[in-house]
Amino acid sequence: MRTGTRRLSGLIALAAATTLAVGACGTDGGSDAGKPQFSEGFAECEAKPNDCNSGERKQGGTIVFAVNRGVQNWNQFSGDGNLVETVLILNTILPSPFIFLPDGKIQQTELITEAKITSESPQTVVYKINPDAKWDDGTPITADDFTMMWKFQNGKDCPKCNVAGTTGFELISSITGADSGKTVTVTYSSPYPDWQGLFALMPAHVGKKAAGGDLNTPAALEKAFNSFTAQPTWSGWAYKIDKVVKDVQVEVIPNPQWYGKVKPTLDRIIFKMITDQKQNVSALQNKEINGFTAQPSADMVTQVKGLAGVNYEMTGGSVWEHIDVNVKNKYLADQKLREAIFTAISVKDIIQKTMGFWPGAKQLGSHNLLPGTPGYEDIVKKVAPDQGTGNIEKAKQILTEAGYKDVGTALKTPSGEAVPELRFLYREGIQTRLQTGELVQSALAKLGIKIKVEATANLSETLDTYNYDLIIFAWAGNPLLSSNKDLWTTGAGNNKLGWGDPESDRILAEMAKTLDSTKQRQLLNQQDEIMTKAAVVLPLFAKPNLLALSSDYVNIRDNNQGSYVTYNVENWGQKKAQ
Amino acid sequence: MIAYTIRRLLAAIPILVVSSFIIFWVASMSADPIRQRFEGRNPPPPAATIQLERERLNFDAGFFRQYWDWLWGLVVHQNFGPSINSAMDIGGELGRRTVITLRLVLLAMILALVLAVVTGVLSAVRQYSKLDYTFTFLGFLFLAMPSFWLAVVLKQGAIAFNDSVEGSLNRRPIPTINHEASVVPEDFWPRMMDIGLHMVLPTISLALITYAALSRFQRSSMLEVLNSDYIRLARAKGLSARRVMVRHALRTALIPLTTVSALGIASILGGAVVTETVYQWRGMGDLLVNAVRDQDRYVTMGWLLVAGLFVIIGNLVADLLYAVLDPRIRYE
Repeated sequence: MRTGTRRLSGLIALAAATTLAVGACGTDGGSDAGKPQFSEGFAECEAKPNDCNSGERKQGGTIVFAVNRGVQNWNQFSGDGNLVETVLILNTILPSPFIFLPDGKIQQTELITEAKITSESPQTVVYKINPDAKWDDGTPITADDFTMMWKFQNGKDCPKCNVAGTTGFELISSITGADSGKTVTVTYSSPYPDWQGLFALMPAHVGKKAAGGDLNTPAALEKAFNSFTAQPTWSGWAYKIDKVVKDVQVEVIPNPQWYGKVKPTLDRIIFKMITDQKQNVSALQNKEINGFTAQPSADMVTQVKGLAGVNYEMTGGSVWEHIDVNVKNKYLADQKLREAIFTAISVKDIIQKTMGFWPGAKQLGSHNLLPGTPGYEDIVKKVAPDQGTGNIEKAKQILTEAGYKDVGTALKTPSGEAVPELRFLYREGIQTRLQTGELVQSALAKLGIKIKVEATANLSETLDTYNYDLIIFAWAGNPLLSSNKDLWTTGAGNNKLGWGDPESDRILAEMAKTLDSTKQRQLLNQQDEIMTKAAVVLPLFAKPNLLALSSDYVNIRDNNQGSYVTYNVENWGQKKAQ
Repeated sequence: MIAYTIRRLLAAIPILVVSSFIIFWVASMSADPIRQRFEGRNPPPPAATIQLERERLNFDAGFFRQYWDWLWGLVVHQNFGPSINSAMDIGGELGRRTVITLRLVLLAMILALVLAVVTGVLSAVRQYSKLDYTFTFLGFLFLAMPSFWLAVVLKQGAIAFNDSVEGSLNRRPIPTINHEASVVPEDFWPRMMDIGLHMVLPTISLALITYAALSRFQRSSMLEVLNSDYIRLARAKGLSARRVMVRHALRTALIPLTTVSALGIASILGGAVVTETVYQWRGMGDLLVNAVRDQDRYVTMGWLLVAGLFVIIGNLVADLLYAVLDPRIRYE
């Protein structure tokens, strides 16, 4: 199995695409409740997410796998090239030292023979590159490739490189190579716990050629960086790009210079662009594609279940929905009112109404970790068991004890001021979020709080300007744990709550510098307790991902941890006849 | 006629400029595409990246300056402006996709016109017959059908057909996505067959929707002509029924259809948006859908210009056809 990181940039893409592109999901009222969410071929996925749908492969064959959009910009490290589909395709050619497995664990790839922290202060990581690792033109993969990627993305050496992110790279103070570039020493100016998810490589010798011979000036780096927006003619992984029909399909074939132990058996993988997800099912039914992944609607699930010769798995994805409260609103600044609101909201009802087609949907108990990943605890149940229960009497009791008046009719603050109508915002066009808003409206009416459910066409602007009282949206969970710091730290770029807590900030800062991931998770759970008690974000559920696949193929399984379905592409194959 | 054609084309320029200005204004009022692109990313993108994107897309300039820069770039450098996707050449993309869409639209239009003329004439000639009622029923049926629904139904029908013949043919003959197969045949005739089969469903979808309205116009136009005095005179003079019908009645009755067809170019382009989405053709319709999704204003502007040009040229061709159909019309 390939090891190799599908890296930070891939994760960024996941967050962006899923948060934004989540479409409206229909409902079927939970008619499938109790039925498994895996078909026969994927039956083991719940217990063995890293090994399900395994099987022996026969030599040869082609697979046509659907992706949601065409590739315009092939540089996945650039701001506008960092899209899920691009990352998913480039997984077949880009080497990286680590990969995230479907269960969230990190695994070393065959790009390296070893990578370890040799010093914690300053943090120093030494990579030993596989002596056989080379690009498809025979050029060895070396420290030069690491250095180029660092210079592209550190925000200093190439200020005009339009990069998707600088996180992690800006903390690297030096990269040096030894043993003909096969030993790479990366030194950080301050600790970076997610170092394993940082690097994925593009060939420095190709960049150097495009830049005119050197990569030592900002202009040369910019030229090289921009040259990678063109269709790659290189590969450092199991496949190489053979043909691109613009906006229609990308075809990859085995890379003869592939140095990994597991050799590809498929003659060709065709990534077919199907931009309207609804067309995936009929294309699969008509055998024009062999598989696809999607965030499913009830209709899609029903249709896929009805297809003969097609296996499917539906697993909790990394995108999680939540209801946030704007604490800048003077009424909602009162924690007791927030607690009462969260207690009155029934997450179970919301799940039944909006995710009824997925029996695996359940209330999420954490703001930082997803179910099934190491360290996950149901923090909500632990420290605020009433939140999300829909317990109206309990909610009334909280308000009454806090001195609120006219509870249940027309709520007034302890000082006698009427609580005004609150605005519940959701992204325009997403039906399930409208339905959630209506359920919240109905629940809070029982407390004497009027809710106006409003759509916003511009979610970012609404969040950035705090132009809401309550809002529902989604974040993409991220196996790079330190990224949670950006979500919840007071005043951080992605903290859209207006909320902050000194102790929470301290824990998050410590977490972002802790190199031990177990300790990191413990710290995140500590921070989660503070946040849950503060009642500012009510986690709802992780949205499902659907993988539908022709039963002729093995070793293909979904990966919601940021490495995507192609994380083990060299293992893909047609099933060997028994 | 050449002078007339040139005058008409020149007159189209201000129309295109004004309409492009309105679209540019509307597009600039909608959501910020850069904000939308980076929305939800955790960790958030560097501020420098956002600023570089703003500069690349010229968003820091004022509204009028942005529009002027776009217009100037287009007229002087034939540059359609920067796309949200930095690697996209909008001009090249429009050219490539126009060819794909024209292939679909022209064939659908021809098919729709032939069907409309045949059924419209037969309906008129046999007014209130079973045949007339049948064509009228079909016309209204297709008129009432949403194009996306018809496309999906046809698709499901094709899949059922493929299921039924797969065993005997050992292949599934009717494709439902794209304008060519994943593995395109290398030989000429198999390739032509492949292209033709990929056109079956989208062409029928688009043609049926278009045909429905045109057939109604053709019927009423034909009825009006058949009841006119000069047709009665022609018959009284003893001309053969065929000569009266084809040379005198049909030719005149085609004039309103020509007008309606020209006006219908805009709606058939609109229909192509839906058809291309359902059948996953990578034509102009798909480009527009993507541009709207990504708030890609310069691509939207480019699309509008090309679509506007189609409509203007279509109307011009219709005007020129009037002279062919009616000898009394002359252009100076």
